[in-house]
Amino acid sequence: MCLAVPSKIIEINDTIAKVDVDGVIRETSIMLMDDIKIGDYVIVHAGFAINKIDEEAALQTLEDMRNILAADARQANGLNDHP
Amino acid sequence: MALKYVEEYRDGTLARDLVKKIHSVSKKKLRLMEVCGTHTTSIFRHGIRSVLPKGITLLSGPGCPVCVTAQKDIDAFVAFARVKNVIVTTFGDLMKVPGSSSSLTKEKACGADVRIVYSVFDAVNIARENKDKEVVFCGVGFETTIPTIAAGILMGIEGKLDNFSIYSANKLTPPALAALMETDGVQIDGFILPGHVSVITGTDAYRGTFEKYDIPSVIAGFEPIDILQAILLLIQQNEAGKPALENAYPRAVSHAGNVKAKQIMNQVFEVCNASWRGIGQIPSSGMELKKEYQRFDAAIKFAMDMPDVPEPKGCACGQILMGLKTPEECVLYKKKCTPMNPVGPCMVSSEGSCAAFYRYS
Ligand code: SF4
Repeated sequence: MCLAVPSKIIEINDTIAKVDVDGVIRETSIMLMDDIKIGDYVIVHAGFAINKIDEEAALQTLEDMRNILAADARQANGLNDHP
Repeated sequence: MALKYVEEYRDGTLARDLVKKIHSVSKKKLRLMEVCGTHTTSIFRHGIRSVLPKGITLLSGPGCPVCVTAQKDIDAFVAFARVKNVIVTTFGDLMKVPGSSSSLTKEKACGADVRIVYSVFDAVNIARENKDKEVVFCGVGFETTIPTIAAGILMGIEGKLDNFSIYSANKLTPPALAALMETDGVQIDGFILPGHVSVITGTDAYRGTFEKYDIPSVIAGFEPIDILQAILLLIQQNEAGKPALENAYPRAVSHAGNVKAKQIMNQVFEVCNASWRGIGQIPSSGMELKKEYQRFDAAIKFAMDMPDVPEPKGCACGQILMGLKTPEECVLYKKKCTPMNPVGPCMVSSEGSCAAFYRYS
């Protein structure tokens, strides 16, 4: 039921927005959202945008994970993080 | 074009490193439950079960809305379809679910006006275009869907549609988790919490359950990296003996959740008791229309009060939803019960664990 693919807002008309999901244009209600603007990425569920994707958090999660895994790899290779 | 916020979370190298790390930290045998049906599907589609250490068992929880819909609610949907002049609107997954004597698919084949909609929005539009008919929407969903149905009611009011109503079989997630923890025999070492329910509820909604049961809990997104990360965190918490409530989906989930959506939901609905298929009544786990919106309540409008009915003999859906059995342990699985001829909703819904097992094993 959930479409997990984030959709990009490309047009807003009152409570209806046009979104681009991988090149497919759909209409979605933004009634459940506050302050949405063109260019935002949202998650759409059953025809309604239910939230905005936080770009910073998205990048941070990946970076944190890579850092932890890289530290592990270094340890496994006998190298220490803090010489 | 690379899909933003998707491709990065499917990165093969990162996934392999995560799997390696999972293997290196995993010592104990653990039973982890993915609460959400969308997680179940994603876990199977990406083959995540097959790369985990032997000691890690993934259980599919009560988070497929169709699978937890009580038989009497399905019977009500069928009954609406039999009322003259009624158009029943529903999400597609409900169509084939067998009630005690029929299903929406069968009713449609017999001439009933049953229409699949993608959104409550479509149902409202059908009501607008068919003023001489009654349009009933089958409300089946969790916190992610309930605000959209509430929005549909508000649209109905705005459009002065007195031919639109909903039947609410909606359900809330945290009370179900608490009910699971109270059930004899249930053994769960951690919850992979549903990403999109949490988008609405926020992390804070789980605080009560987490604190009462001290159960490792991690909110996860739906891509392979998201799910692997959640599994890793749950294993680490268990190995360290330090349960925590963590949010591994911060790009979409905040502490407070979607405040506006919750406001709209609580404007229209209020908490009530609800029957869950195979589990039974769970206190304060459903949502019904508030008094001032009851003219949109199809059950009241059509005086539809269906009796409780026992579930089909042999169907183990309830036990599967609680992690007490796997689909393979159901005597009907692959024999009397297949996706073509489903006995229970776990085989009908594309997010049901029986259907997922069938498709991917
Ligand atoms: S295999 Fe069919 S009968 Fe058995 S639990 Fe699943 S849905 Fe029910």
